[in-house]
Amino acid sequence: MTDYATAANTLGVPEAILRRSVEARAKADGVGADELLAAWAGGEAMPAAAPSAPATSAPPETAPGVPAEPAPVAAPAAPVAAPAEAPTPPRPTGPVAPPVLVGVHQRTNGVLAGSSAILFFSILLAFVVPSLPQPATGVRSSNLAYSRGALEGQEIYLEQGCGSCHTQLIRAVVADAKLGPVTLSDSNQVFGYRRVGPDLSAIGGRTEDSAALANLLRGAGTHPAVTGLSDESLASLLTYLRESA
Amino acid sequence: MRALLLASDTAATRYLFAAAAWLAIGSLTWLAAMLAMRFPGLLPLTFGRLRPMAMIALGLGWLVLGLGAAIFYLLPRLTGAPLALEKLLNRALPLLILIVAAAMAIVGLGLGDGREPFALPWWLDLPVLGLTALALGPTILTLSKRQEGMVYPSLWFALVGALWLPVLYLAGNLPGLSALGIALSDALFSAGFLNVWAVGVATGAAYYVVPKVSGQPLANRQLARVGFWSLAFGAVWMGVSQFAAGPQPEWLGGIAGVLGLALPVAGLANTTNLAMTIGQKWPAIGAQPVLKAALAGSSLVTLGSLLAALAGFRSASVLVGLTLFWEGVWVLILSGVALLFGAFAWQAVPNLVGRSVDRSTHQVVKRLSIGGVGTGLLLVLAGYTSGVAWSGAGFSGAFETTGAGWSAGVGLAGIFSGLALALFLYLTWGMIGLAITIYRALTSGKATVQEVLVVKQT
Repeated sequence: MTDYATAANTLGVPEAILRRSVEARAKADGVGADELLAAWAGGEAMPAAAPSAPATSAPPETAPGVPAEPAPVAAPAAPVAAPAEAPTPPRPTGPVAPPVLVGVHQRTNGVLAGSSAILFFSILLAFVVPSLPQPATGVRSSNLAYSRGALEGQEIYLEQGCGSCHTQLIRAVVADAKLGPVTLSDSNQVFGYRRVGPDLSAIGGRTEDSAALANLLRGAGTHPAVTGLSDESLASLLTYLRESA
Repeated sequence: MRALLLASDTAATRYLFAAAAWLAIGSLTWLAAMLAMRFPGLLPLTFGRLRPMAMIALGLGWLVLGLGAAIFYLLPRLTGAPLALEKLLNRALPLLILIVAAAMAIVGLGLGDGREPFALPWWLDLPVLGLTALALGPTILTLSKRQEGMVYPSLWFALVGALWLPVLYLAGNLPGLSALGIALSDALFSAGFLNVWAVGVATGAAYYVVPKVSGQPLANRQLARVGFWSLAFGAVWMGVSQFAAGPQPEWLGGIAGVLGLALPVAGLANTTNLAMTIGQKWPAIGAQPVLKAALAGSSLVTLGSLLAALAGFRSASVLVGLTLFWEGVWVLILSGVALLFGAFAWQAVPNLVGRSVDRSTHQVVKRLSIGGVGTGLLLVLAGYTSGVAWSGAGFSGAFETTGAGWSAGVGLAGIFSGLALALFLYLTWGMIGLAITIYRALTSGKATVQEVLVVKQT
């Protein structure tokens, strides 16, 4: 029975690391763990050759005058595949610190508090306040009275990801001048994110031809076929588009 | 004197390798999405389904798990305390992978909610919220037990990334909002996720690996502070500009334009700091893919942030809003994050598994850099061109005659997007190559020194 605890104590390395290294090396070389431990501890020749690797990496130099971070973390330890030329596992040699990582004494509370405040105000200003209902002017509204079937169609419009290519957002810019009335903040359409295809805010007012729209959704022209939709779902989607006017 | 094991690094290792697999899957899905956008009808799934699927694989699978791995790797090294909740993290990983896979499948089946970037239905938002919160508990608990009094800049980025991500996800997926509320919350989350989590945590990792690999202390802590706080201030404002001249209050565009300027400031500060850290060792940079990747990645992020900030001005935002310009910005920034992730992974993998990464990393840096810049700028040009065409002739009215959008109607934009697709292939090759380098270290990497964290007890 291999006494890893004693060996670890003798060698000055953690038992778990020693056990893992010995077992891996022993398995790779087909030798016994006791034999290997004896070789490592006593300097006996290794039973088999293995690729060499540097036992430890030299700690990088510290910049003159800059205090090194005295982190208690250490770099070198037992290699997974122990090198043949280094029969003794690397021994920790005093407090090894990563000297290139120069920190300063600081509490993280300031970072936490400051960033939380920025997050709070960002959400408030970029999303919450602008989303609040704005006072109605009474002149007109972008809230369309969709039928039940159309609202089901809107769900399908969302599920199919139509908003990835189509907008239902007419802006107060020259580019959108021919599309219809400018979209107001009370709109209940799907704004979308980019116009790979045309804007569909007022598609119902541009075409009365349901058959042409249906063909488009089935893959006619340059529009890709919307797959996996039942006839009822397709009818709902068409209803939504027709009532978008 | 004895040395006791400080941390086993099992969570960092497992999350890193899981993330590499999702990077490969996500890259291929993203390529499919770009193909579906440029050639509608070519693939059985539409761009509308493929894009969120790609974002799920890349955003949740690669970036959340992979940058989570970066945080788990950095925390014990910078705090001197063992990583908290490591066993829980290890046990949760299969479940998290399952959630990402299920999310992709559900959106692919056409059951998503259409909200960007992930389009997840409300009943999947709760488990995904848990996924986005995975780094928060370990970060707070490990920091509370830290043995190291000094705080290194990487910790700022890790802490803020872990804290902001679940809050942003919650804010970005609230149910029952108006159409305007949905658009703004989606823009808030998308921009925050990209800038605070992806760019922030990856930059924090670069602040660790560049000094370690170059052997030079960080050049300027104050510059790191500028980079950090600028990123926090400007993070969420990128998205709002996409809806310029829309129904949101006018003051919002002004705030977004001003605070959006903080993003390139952050990029410039961080890139300069990393470059100055390497300093006189610059001539030797060719031999160090980690340094090359970190610098190239930070530069790409800066370029993307700069373009986003320029597009925040009203005169520009009304031109490029809702166009592929923003897709180009995302490509630039995500390519930069891929390079920063590569820098972290190539430094960490030998320490985690005791095997070195091979020299194909140089090729990966080249492919990610050229592919990222080329694709990103061409998409930006495509967006700009279509924006000009819109302004000139009310372009979207083209539907009445051609039945199609800009890609078929505007020749120059179509050419640019076609060229972008060609370069996107090169970028995809680089992203898959990055994943392969991580796995190849495990399967055929040469044995090297494995870093094991210990504390000394006398």
